[in-house]
Formats: sequence, C-alpha cells, structure tokens
Amino acid sequence: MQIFESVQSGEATPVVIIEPHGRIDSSTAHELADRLTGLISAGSPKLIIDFREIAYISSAGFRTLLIAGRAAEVVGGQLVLCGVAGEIRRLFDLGAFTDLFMICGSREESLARLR
Amino acid sequence: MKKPVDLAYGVNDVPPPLVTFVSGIQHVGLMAVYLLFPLIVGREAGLSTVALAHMLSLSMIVIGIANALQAIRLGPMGSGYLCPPVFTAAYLGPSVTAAQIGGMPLVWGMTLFAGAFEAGMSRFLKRLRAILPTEISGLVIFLVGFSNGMLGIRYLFMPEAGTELISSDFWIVGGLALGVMIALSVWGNSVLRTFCLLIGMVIGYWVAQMAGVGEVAASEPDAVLPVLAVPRTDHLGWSFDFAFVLPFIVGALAAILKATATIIMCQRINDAEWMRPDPVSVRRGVLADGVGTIVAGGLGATGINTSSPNVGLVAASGVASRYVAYAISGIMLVLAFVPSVTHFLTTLPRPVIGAGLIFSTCFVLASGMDIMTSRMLDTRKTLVIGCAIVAASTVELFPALYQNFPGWAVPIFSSSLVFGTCVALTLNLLFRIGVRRTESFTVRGTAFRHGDVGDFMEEQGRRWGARHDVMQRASFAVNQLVETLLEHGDIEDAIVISVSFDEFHLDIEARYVGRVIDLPDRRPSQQEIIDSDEGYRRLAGYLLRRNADRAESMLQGDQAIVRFGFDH
Repeated sequence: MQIFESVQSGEATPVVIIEPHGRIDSSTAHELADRLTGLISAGSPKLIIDFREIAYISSAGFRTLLIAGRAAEVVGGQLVLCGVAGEIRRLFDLGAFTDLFMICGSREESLARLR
Repeated sequence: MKKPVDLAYGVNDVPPPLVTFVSGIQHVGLMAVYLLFPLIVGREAGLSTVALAHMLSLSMIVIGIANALQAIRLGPMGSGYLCPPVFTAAYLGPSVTAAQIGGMPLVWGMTLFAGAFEAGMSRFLKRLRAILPTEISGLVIFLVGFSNGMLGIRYLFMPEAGTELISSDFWIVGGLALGVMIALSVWGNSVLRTFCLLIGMVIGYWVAQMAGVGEVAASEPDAVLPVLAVPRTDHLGWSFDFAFVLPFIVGALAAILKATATIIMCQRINDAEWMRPDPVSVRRGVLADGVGTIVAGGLGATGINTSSPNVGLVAASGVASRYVAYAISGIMLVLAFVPSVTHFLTTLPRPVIGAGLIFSTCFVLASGMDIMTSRMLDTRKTLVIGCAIVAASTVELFPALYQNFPGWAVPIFSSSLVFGTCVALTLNLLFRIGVRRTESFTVRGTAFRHGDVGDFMEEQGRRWGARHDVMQRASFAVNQLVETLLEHGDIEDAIVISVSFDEFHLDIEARYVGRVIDLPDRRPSQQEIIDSDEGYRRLAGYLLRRNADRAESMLQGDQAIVRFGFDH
C-alpha cells in the first residue's frame, strides 16, 4: 500500500490529508496505523483520509480507523473520511460504521467541517 | 418504508385536487403517444378511419381501467404505486403479423391469451429466472427495440406497407419530426425533454398537413365531429390461432420483465431506505399488468405494460401519490368520449409515426444493451446473444429465406423479436449442460499474497459470467475469511477453498484444521473492537455473516468448515 500525504495550512491547527492507495487489510493496516498515530502524536490531530484510491478494506482496516479516530478525539482533534464510494461504501454500511465516522462527499467538504 | 425528502407527495399521500389534476394531465400527455401502437396495428389490419377512431376510444378506456388496477390494492392485484401502464411495443411485432394474417379479431383473441399468460406467470416469477437469465432478459428488450426500429424505418420511408418504394416527401416530414424530438431531447430544458416525443409528433403532423403528406392529407377537413360520442363496440370479435401462441408468449415475457423493472423503480422512488426489491408488490403489479392486457384484449385494443417514462416523470416531479393514477383514469375515460381527440390520432401521418417509433426505440435498445452487459459475458452467453441477434437480423434483412416455411411457422419466422428470442432460449437451454462449475484453491500462510484471492475471484466471475456485484461480495468474503483464519484460526496446515456457481447461487466453502470461527449476528461495540482481540475477531465474523445471504461455521470430525451462500 502506498500512502500519500498533504497539508492544508492557514489555520491554527493544520489539516493533514492522507490518501492511501490499494488495500487496507491485516498486512497493511499497521502501516496506516503507524502513519496516523505518528501524525496525531506529532501535533496534527485534524486528519482527512481520502478513500478514493482504496479497493478493499477489511476488519483490520476498520479497527485501525476506530483507534485513530479515538486518538484524535483524545487530543481535541477529529478524523474525517471522504471518497467513500462503491464497494468501500457498501462495507462501511455493512458494518454500520457510517454512524461512527464523519464521512463527507469531498475533500473540500471535509476541510469545511474541520474548520 | 421511509419517504425520501425530495418526494413532495409519497405513494399514500393525498395531494390537493389541483396538484392531482395537473399531474394527471402531465402523465396523460406522456401516455398519449403510446396510442400509436394500437393505431399501427389497426392500420395494418386495414381498418377504416371510423373503425380506427372507435378502437382508439376504447383503447383510452382500457388505459383508464389499467391505471386504476395498478394503483389500487384489490385482493392479490395491484402494486399500489403510481406506475401508469401504456400500450406496449412488446406486442407490436406479433400483433402486426396477427393483424395481417387474421385481422383484428385474431389480435384481440391473442391479446386476451397473452394477458392471461402474464397474469398466471405472476405467481412464478422466481422460476422464470431459470429460462430468462439477466443477459437474455436484456436481449429480449433489445430485440423489442430492434424489431420496432425496423418497423419505424419502413413507416418513415415507405408510403405503403409491403412496398420498397421510398418517398422523399415521407422522409422529409418524418426526418423533421425525428429531428425535433432529438433536438429537444438533447438540448431542451426538463419540460421540453419530457414532452419531446409529443411535441415532435405535433410539429410533424402540422408540417404534413401543410405539405399534404400522408393520412392527414386524405382526411376530411370539413367533417363536423360531435363534441361527445359513445365509442361503438359492435366491431369487436375474437379468434385464436395456435401458431401465434409462441409469439405472444414472447411479448408477454418482455412485458413481465418490463413490469418487474418499473415496479422496482417505483419502490426505490418511494423508499429512502430501499435495500432490495419487494417481491410482493412486484407480483401484485405483474398480475395487474396481465389483467390490464386481458381488459385490452376484451375491449379491442393491444397489450399494455407499465411505462418507464411515466415512472421517470414521477421521480422528476416528486409527485408519487397513487391518487394521481385515479386522476389519469378519469381524464382518459373522459377523453375516450371526445371524437376530436381520436380523429386527430387516426390521421397521424405514417412518417410521423415512424419518427416516433425510431425515437422511442433508441431508449429501448440502450436499455436492452445495458441489461445484457450488466453481466460478465463468458463464451456461452456471448454465443447466445450473438447468434440470437444475427438470427433476428436475417428476418429483417433476408425475409426471402423464410418464405417457403409452412403456415404455422410464419408467426415465428416473420418477427425478428420472436425468432431471435427463440434462438436465445434454445441455445441457453442447450448450454445449461454442465453449467454447475466448481473451482478450488489452497491457501498456505507462508506463501499467501492478499491480492491473489481477489485476482482468483475476478477471473472466476469473468469465466462464469457472474454478476459483478455478487462477485465483489464473494471476493470480500474470501479475503476477510482468509485474513481472519490466518490471524485467529490457529491453522495447522492449509485452508482449502471451493467456489461453486450455477447461475442462481454462488457458494463458497472453506475447510481447514483449526479453530471454528464465530459468526455473530450483532456487531461488537466500538469499545470492544478497539480494546480486545475478542471484539476485533467478532467484528470480522459479523462482517462475514452480514456480507453473505447465508453463512454457517461448524466442526466436522477434525475439520472446521465455513460456508457462505450468495443468491445470484
């Protein structure tokens, strides 16, 4: 899995946009988890994860997101998801995760929510 | 059922009288063009203008009754939705042939039979899938469009039935009408797009009148029509011919497919939480559709079927109240007693009718292709579709091939819809030999690559012609299962996974020596998932259970077994 990262500055707390590519399964979830917890502990608790290039997510991926979401909340931040569509959206619905995460339609909408 | 926020009036809401009436008028405007079909059949039978006018008046009464039957919930009948029926292209090919061979009594008798067949089949819709898998359903719809498109071409270019003479006056008038329809459809606003067919026909009619082309030129301009008149029924009669049983069954099958699709569209429009088709309202709706066609046969019209453009209007207008259907019925019943309306329809020029047929056919063709290609096409399905289309084309392009066939075979070999469908059904039955297929693969923890499972399932889905959405669910099941077993299953050796497919079911079975996994029907809480391995494990089991239509896990001897079933 490749993970791309960009920062939207201009606010007191910058917003970091993470764009993983490929699959979030038991073999790759730890990589995403390390990146997210690293960012949160380094003082970037406002995170957007863009799912548009994700082809598959398993229970390991969902657990990683739940852990990261809670870690962000503990330090006053928030995790927002966008680009959740098609099969990935079905899996979020399947696990009733749409109520547990803030899911926006686009990056712009996600940024507006975090500001 | 939860009413969507963008729906102004839900199925059971009662709109104000003005809204109900205006909505009814809009629907009637859209439905009026489908009176073309009984008009075409009547002309093919050689009916006089007067007889045609009475036939069209009765046809409007039929539509009025059929609308009410579909909206009302009467015993086992009626979907209960605003799902207006109109005269359908599905019976056009068989009806035209019947009209040419046996006159209108044969059309009406066979229409009665087709309606009874459709009504009877409403009880066996699930079993129909065995002979009409998705790609053949799409093919039948495609062939309805193809055969009607050919008829449209003949109407557009040729002034007389059965001649090869091309009239320049005809194609100029027809081309203009068709151009208006296309231009309004592509570049018009939403109102113009909705009524582009009707507007194109009115403009075509006006131009034909100015230029003195077609039936409008031959009509009596000075004839004084009464304001109101009761339609006559003394011309009615019914006959039956076994040779037409198959052609009308093909038409009825196309009508069943279309009714099913439009009623499901209604379900989706009316329910914000729609997940899957409700078979009860589909069954009731198909029954009402069949009874509507029986009424059509009884009152001297051609077969009816639910109208997807009207359901599109329901979605666009946000008025889905079934009480609008009763307004449509009322308006149709009133118009049936107004001779000037039927006079206008009976003098519609032949090229204008051709333009309307060609325009509406484009959408039928696209819809058929869309359904056909919604399935992954393997060699068998490709051959079924390809051979059927080639066979259907020969009827239109080389009719001389079938000229010397015996009389009983004429209705089959004179209709591209019927012949193409027969070829497809025959090949489909033949190709079912050896259709149940099973493939297995073995997963060993040390050599496992996560992407391999997805590649394997994708390849199998393509080879079997399985639906893409079902293969995606199955692929998730295998991926998630392997992950879970490798992480938590204490696997001693390997996991052997078998995937079986037989058109209607996709079954997955995994066997291994290790711990039986739990498939709970309640999702663990957020806290449990984060804080404990047990919660994480149960999340995986919960996703696996919810993902499949059927799921079970058990211990058999020293082997653990997990099974998933998916309806296809």
